Amino acid sequence: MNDHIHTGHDHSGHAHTHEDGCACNECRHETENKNPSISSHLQDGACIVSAQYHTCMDAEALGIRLTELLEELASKINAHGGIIGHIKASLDIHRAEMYSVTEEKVTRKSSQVPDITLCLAAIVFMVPEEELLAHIKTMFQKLA
Amino acid sequence: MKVLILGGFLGSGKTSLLMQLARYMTDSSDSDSAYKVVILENEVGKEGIDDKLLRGNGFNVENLFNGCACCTLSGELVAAAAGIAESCHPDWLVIETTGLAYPELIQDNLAGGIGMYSRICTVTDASRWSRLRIPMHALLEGQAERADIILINKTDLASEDALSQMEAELREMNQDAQIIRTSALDKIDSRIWQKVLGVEE
Repeated sequence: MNDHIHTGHDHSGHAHTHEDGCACNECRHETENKNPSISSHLQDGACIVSAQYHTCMDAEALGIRLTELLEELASKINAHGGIIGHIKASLDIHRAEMYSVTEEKVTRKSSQVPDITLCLAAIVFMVPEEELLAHIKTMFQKLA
Repeated sequence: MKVLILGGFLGSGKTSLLMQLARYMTDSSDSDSAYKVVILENEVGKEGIDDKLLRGNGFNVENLFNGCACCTLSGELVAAAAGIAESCHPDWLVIETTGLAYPELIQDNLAGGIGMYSRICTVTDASRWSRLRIPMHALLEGQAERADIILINKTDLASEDALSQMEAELREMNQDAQIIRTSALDKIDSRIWQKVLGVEE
């Protein structure tokens, strides 16, 4: 057992309150692990949203569902008088294969379902930032 | 190293055309020689989308994300261009700008920062021109006014009347640029790429 001195250490937990933008380890961990992670900002009259979403599912099924939801999103924006600069999404699809040897023979295992990272980039004009964020969050909720 | 700035509004077809242009530039079977090309992708958002597509098609791509190369990332753009020239020694650097960028500002930054000359090719969207013309007036005009060449893209989605009107309006914005009609759905003639690059015979 270690004999180091404990004086000066706060072992009773966090000594600060967690406000918006708190960068303590606990809050940072929570932000980094949000799924989807969504950020937005305004530039030159445009609302710019970036999002990343992780899932494990059939890539083709995801593509079909994503297509439906992007068209639904575009329709909502157009109906509210917005101008879509572009809304783009990419799917990074990863399948894992594991090769293992303990004695002589190598065994191989493959993942059944791919690990997919969906990246979204949206640039939209004439739609309030909060409204666009709400639409995109709804889209991800429907995707889950 | 020669530099081409590929600008134009969001969704105008820059990346689709760039895929063909980069293939033309790197494939010696369609021209007298193949060029060594690096593509610099600029996106205002945190996530890159087009860079993945370009990289997946075998092109050498560098990224500049989370800002606009003509303003918020102007310093980074100049540094990236200088770094690419020094480390990769490409024949051509093609900068695909974000659709919010003013290409002339990038041209000025490169010239003023490191004495690097560049050509501007601006891509315009025939299918959305009439809808965007008024609300996006300042940006569309700013993207066209100092272009060396303007491509009216997606001509397959516009009528002849609309194309003629668009051409006239672009001519008012820029009296000197070559204006050429394209559709990225078709294979673009190599003579158009030669005009884009300014290497016509």
